[in-house]
Amino acid sequence: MRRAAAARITPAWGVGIVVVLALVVWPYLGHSQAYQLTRLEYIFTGLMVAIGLNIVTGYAGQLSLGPGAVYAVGGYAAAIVANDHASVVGLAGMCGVALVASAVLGLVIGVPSLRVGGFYLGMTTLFFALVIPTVVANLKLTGKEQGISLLANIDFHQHVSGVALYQVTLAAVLVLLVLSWLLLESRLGHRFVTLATSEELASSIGIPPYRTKLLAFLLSALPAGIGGAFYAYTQQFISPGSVSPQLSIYLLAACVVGGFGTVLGPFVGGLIVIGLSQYLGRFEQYEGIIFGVLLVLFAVGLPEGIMGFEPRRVRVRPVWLRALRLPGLGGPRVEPVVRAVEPSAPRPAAVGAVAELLSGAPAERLEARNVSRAFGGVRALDDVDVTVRPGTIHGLIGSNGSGKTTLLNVVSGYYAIDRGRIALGGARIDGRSTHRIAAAGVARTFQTPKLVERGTLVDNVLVAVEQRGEVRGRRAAVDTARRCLAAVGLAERADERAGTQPHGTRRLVEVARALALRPGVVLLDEPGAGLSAPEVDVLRDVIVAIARAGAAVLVVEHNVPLVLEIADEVTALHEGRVIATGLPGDVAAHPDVVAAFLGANEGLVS
Amino acid sequence: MTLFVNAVITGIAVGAVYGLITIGYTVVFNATRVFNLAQGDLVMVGVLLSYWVLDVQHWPQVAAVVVVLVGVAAVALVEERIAVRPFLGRSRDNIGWFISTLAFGLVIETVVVRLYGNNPPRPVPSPLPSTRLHIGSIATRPQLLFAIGVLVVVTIAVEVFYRRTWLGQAMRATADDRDVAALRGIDPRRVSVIAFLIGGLLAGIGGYVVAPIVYADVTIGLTYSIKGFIALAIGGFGSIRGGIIGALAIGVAEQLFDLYIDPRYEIVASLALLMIILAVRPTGLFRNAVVREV
Repeated sequence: MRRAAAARITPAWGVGIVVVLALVVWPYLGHSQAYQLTRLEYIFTGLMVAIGLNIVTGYAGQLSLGPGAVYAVGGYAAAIVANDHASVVGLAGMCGVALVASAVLGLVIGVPSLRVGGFYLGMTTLFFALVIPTVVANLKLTGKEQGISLLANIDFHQHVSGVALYQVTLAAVLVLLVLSWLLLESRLGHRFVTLATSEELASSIGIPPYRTKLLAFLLSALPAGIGGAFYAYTQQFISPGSVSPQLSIYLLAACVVGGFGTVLGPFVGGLIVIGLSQYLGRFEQYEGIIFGVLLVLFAVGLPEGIMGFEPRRVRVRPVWLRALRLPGLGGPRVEPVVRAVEPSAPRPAAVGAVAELLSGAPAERLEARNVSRAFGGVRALDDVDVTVRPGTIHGLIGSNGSGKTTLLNVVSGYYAIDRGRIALGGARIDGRSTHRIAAAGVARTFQTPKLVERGTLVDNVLVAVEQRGEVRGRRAAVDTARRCLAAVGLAERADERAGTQPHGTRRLVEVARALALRPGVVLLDEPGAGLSAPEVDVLRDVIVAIARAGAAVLVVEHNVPLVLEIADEVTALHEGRVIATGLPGDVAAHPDVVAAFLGANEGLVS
Repeated sequence: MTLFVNAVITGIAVGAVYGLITIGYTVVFNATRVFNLAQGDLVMVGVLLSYWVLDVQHWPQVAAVVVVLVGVAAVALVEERIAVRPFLGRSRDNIGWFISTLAFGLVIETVVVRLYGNNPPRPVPSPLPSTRLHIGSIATRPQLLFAIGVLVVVTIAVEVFYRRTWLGQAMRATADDRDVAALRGIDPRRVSVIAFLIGGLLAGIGGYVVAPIVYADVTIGLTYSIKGFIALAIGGFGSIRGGIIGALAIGVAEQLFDLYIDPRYEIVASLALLMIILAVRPTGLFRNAVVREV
């Protein structure tokens, strides 16, 4: 339904198309000398690596600093095989060898370093980029300092050469570019972008973080390996100097300048940075200074890069033409939009809409028995019992630090428990990882909403619909996402960008995303905090509707009157212990609760 | 056996320099949550300043100490202002500084390479006699023992600074919780400047001490930065002692690798250590798993 708008070519894509056309006709404008073509082909091999780097760092948010390492291994593997079997191995064979080699190296680096997370991947890859030139400079297999020269091998012939080779290389770059674009728009790409936003968020909707990161890293290694094979084929030579650690930093600079996370960023940035490095002439000796300064300038001043840059106005990109920025770099520019949600969904409609969305969801009882968890010497949870029955709302109240959020976090699997058991419909879930618990039907929202800022509201909900995996086809999935948004009264804003939304809307988007998982259990962490009165009305209706639809709802909330109004049962926590549990009125009147909340003998509700 | 003991002593001495880098990392990381990837390049600047003062200008050793400390600390402060401070106010899981400190290191390296020229590493005079020191059957160079001694003194000094001085405690508070520290009137920007000042001084000391051992080598920067990181990965982030133990382990492993396997592939030794620690104990030896904040 939005296809008409989607066809509009944004300025960024206009630039991309002009650049591609210029490159296609370039050899026919009197630049077809062999050395000129070889030089451009070299730049193209760098673009392939940059496109790969963008997948892991730009899309999936995992910083990799040593893209040159995979490039080197791919290039050397291809060169060695081509040198030994010159008569049988051509360009395709070299690419095949490089793909295998780069996948192996990807596993060797990725498996151990991604398990740890943080910036280990960045440092490990950088270290490999540093080690590989030293190793190949000493190994007989790799020709030591001289490297491997296919040019000197009389059996080796370029079956494709001259302008044709230039065109093949350019075509390979464009194919990789299109594949990387399709990837960004695929389910997997959506998972990558969600992971880049927040690992906690990703696992809370059932995305396994480690496997997804590893996949992103492997997918980034493949174009780098192909780049290496093309290097060996087009330059007919590879040596330790071809794969210096500086190359990795320049490739990083290419993506930073062009814009990490945008489809065209590595292409445009790569042409600028690697192109510059080829045509600096006598300034070549200052290369490190030029690119270092460029990197600092962009990292500080324009973290979204050239292709990610937009004037400061709210503009919505169609779903399939978005270019998502790396959220880690510099943070999003949040345009101030102050506009409260008018509850567009009348109350009975909310109930019907939610019931329809949640039909067929598992109705299971959530039970926490004797749950204890300590942090250092602090007993955050001490022998806590809570039961949430299907179709009911269980309110969790208590002062700050009483253990409410900790309880939600142990249920969703962020923290392990020291003692006790947590069960969902009789099956133990404590000890399972967060994404498995989410897959078992436990959805949640966060105290501070976690959203993919560059995506639209639909995008944010869509990833949860896709994760559930029951809706077939993009159109149906988008439709489901829209219905989830409509259920929380956000139908009108579905195509606006998440980063521009006020706090209240962001919370409701989280609730819509939870609905999209069609959960049996919904955990809400202070959903009412910071909401305006009309927004609280919408929220109340939705929570009640979720319970009516058969789900078990556990709400942590400071707004005690709201809890007492909607909850079927209430548990009060104080310093990690349950001090009262039962019907809302009884808990509110319980002397210990009154004392804990007010420190005086006054009722909670007057 | 003598060879082995000598390799271990040399390893501890080289490890002592890595140890100074890890302390620099930790001081800066604790105060700013920034991992200064130019730390190794700062050490390299110290080495080259030593070379310039002692071998080019023929000034005395005292002048070298002053010039190196002031010079490297100044570069560190410039780095803090340009490549780090812009990121301090931004969101928590920011990685822009990662790129900017790496890039700053690249700039420093290129500048120094231009100034030094395309020459092989030249020797740098040591403040100590070059005659070997004989302890029983073992003969060792005084400069190596000097490096170990400096590490011990610096470690104690940093620990005392953190425990006994108001400023040190303020920096520890910032490490624990930046926002709370800011509320208590501790200016995070000032803490950041002081952290980089200390980091720069530590890099300067490291450069001065290691110069006579490694010579005027302009290429060591990035390698040192990464080895410092691996030392922290082994010891555990945030812990000064853990980092030092990791650093000494790398130093000794490298020397033993040189002795028994092949010195040409020395750099593989630390890579192997990193892969082993990632496989066996990914959080490092001296640190518990971090609690994630949701």
